[in-house]
Amino acid sequence: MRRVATLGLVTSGLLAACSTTVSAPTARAPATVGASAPAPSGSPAGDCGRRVTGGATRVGDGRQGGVVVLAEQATERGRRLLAYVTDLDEPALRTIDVGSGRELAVTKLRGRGEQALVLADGRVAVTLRHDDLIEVLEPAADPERPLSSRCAVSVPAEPIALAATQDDRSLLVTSGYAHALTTLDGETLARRRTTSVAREPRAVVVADDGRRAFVSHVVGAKLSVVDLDGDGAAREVDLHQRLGRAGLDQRTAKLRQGCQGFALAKAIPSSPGKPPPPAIAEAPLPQPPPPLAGRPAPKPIPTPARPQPTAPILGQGRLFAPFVTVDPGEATRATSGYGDASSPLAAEVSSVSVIDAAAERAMTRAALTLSRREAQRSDCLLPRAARASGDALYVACLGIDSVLELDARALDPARAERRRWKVPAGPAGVAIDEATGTLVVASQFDRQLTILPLGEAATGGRQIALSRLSGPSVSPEVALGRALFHRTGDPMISSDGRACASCHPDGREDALTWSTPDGPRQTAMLAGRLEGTGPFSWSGAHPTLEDHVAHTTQRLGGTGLPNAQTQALLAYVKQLPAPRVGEHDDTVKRARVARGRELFFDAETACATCHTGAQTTDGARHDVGTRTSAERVDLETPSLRFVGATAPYFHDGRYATLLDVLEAPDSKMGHTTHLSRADRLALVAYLETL
Amino acid sequence: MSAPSRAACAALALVASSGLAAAARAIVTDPFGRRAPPQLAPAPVGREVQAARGVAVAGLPEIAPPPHLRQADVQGKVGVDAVELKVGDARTARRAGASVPLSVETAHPASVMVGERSTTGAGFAVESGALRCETASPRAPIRWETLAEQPDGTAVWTVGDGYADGARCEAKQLSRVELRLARVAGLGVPVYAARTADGVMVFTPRAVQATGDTSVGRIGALRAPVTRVFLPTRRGESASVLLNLDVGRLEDWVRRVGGPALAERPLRATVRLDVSQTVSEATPTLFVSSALTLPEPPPKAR
Repeated sequence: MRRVATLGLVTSGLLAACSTTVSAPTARAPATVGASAPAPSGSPAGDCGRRVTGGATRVGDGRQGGVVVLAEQATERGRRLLAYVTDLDEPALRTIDVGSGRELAVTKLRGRGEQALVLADGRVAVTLRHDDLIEVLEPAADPERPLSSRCAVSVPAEPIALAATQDDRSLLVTSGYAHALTTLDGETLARRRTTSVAREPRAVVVADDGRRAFVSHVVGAKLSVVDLDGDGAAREVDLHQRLGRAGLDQRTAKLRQGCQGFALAKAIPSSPGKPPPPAIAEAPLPQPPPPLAGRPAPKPIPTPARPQPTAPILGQGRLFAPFVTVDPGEATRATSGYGDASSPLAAEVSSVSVIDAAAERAMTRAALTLSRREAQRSDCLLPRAARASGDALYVACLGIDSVLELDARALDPARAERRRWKVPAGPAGVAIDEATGTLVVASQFDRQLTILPLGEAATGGRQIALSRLSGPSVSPEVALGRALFHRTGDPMISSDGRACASCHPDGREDALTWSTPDGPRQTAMLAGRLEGTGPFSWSGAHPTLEDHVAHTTQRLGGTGLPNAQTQALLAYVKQLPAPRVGEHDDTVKRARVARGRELFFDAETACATCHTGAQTTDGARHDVGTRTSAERVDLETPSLRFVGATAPYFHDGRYATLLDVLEAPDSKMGHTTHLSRADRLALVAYLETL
Repeated sequence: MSAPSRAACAALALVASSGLAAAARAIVTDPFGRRAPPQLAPAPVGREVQAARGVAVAGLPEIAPPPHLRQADVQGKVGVDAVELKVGDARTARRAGASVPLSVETAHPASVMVGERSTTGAGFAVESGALRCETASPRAPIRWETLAEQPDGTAVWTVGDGYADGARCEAKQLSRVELRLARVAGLGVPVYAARTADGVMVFTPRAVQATGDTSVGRIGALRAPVTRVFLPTRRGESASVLLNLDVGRLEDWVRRVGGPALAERPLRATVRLDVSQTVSEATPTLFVSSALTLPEPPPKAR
């Protein structure tokens, strides 16, 4: 036994340069070390289980994945709290000792990890968004050693968020581009079922009853509800809110749209008589140097004293969905910018919708405000992660680089802020250790963890800098562009707080049709759609991207970006990863796609007359019909790349689905009215592969 | 390429790389081309002080508000003199067949409602006469209300019901009840509440504007000395109201109710009321949040 252990140590020493290890001679090394890695599979039965015992285990009820997740390990002196952190820029998972603030290990992954989840037996599942994989890792008994890769499981395109069921028998994963929720076996990771859900699913939580999963969506102001033990069909919970105005009749009030549904949290009921959790940070540790010279170290923002303790309110069955309510303006009314500046509320207002999980209904139905000015204080326009604890909800906000503590008892917790902390740039993950009352925040842009004690009187925090595998993984220009792209409240970009990412979440589009001076215009997708698609804008009026950025900031009321920053913004946008379009694995679907391709290039159908070349655009303007007299008639041919995931369609968003476009009698785009329904479906299937 | 030119190229490359490095440094050290970080849209002028409290509705005192008297209810009724009601100069009014103002003899915020017409009560300007002194005038129901904070922090809502007899130019009292309310919010905006059989009754200072998701709720008359909001509580239901308070009256209101005095007059005061109960929760939650926008302190003298 001792010889085996020695062999393991030697092996790990030999592989130390690769920053990964194997804990047992039989374990397969991940691909990054050049050894034979387990082939990705949809049915990896028998390959993913634990091979060694010991190691860190899940903290409490940590059944929801995140950019940062917590684990604990018993030690002679008590308990060691660990944080596993995924990396936006590098294919690595880092192990951090929360107590000492020390980075213990770096585990190389097969690709860049999106979210991690600690499974019931201590294994760690990581979604590799750009590789369509879930990699399963096993912790060593010593947390200072990297985790070892156990297997990788292929899942529908763009796996993002993870959650485990209450009994840990199932692992759930959302797939962004494939708009799916996949159920895997919690032990073997074998795929059980994939359920199609609405566009751009992100966070997932399992209801207290363990029978349903709730999925947030970046666009569309909705949640999906999937029965885990039923037929797998998805239902939807509507999160649209009416604009509350003076007077009480809400029936005729305007319905606001929604976007930025990245996060979802489940209420953790508080216990009657439970005292506030103690703080763990006795004294702040020395601060690491700021990640970028000149950037001030994060400081807590002074906030009013918290209210006196009140009777505990049990939040049973409540879910919290941070998002942004949006008023894109009237489609029939031309405006001076993007949206209606005369609206009583700002175009985008942060909100947290409270959902009754049992009733599958939003309890937050109105965006209440008395003035536009009040709405402009609502500044978390890019919420990215959320966790609840007792009567508090913690939301990580990109753009303002802050974490907000909201009162979870309110019907719109975004209107009941208790306090906030400024954190390093790019907060995208939060985790809570209930035992010590500690909030851990992962800031991806600045590569830092922030540890915050949640006690009533606690104000300080400390930061832990994350290492790099080898030098900067993104250029300074791209890093600047990324910061600019997500910067809310920047007067250079907009006058009402909107950022580029407000309308282009993840570099894509918000599925909204905005009123503009030219008439209603749907937001265009950026990721993977810029190169070779000029001129730009729906009217094709801007020959270069620089022109288009200047024009866009002008319409948003911004003062405009200097050239260096415009170039940085474009450098970031141009390198945004395109969605991964998966191939159909069944022959019937492949045949349908082939038929659709024939029709696309058919002379009579004439789709390819305008949608030509690699980017499926001829770069010319065409009259495709208009809705209002205020619009221009000729419109630039848009690229059809990734068109399957950019609903609604047409420049004014009049068609909800691609099939609607093809069946519309008034469409001037190609000639499809003569096609049979089967052929139209085939054409849709082909378009979805572009 | 000769050696000197090679050296020159090397020097040029060094200069170029230094320039690139400097450019990179310039981006890193001053990423936004300015010293101060970007600012959010300006908040309302002044300092904002917020307070919030969640209350289990089951923990509130239960009251049974008296139903409003109907016109027919008072016909033939005989009551006692409504001693709390102050009737204007009835003798002059009777002669002239005019209306006389009604108000409540109290220092606390109060209101009077005669029929469907309400007037504000003592301590606030009586806006119009409500008792019409005419021989042919039918009897009209009257309700008067007062709100007073008690030493123990609760408040008493007193409701008197009676009728106005226009023919006699007098007011009679039929009943008078005192209902105990809990104080559910402070910090300059006292808010009181009690539960009823089917909802929550919340009392706030005089509001001048309200907005809400009240497809299931009701709100009392605005601009009354006490704004009374009823929010029904049902399993699986929710309701919200946002009130903009009359800051011009808030200081006087707090003084009359008897609560802690305001340190300074706010520029704006709002109260938001949320009532919600999921189908899984045993009791509804009343969430009260108030926000005072206070004036900026004067700049320190140099």
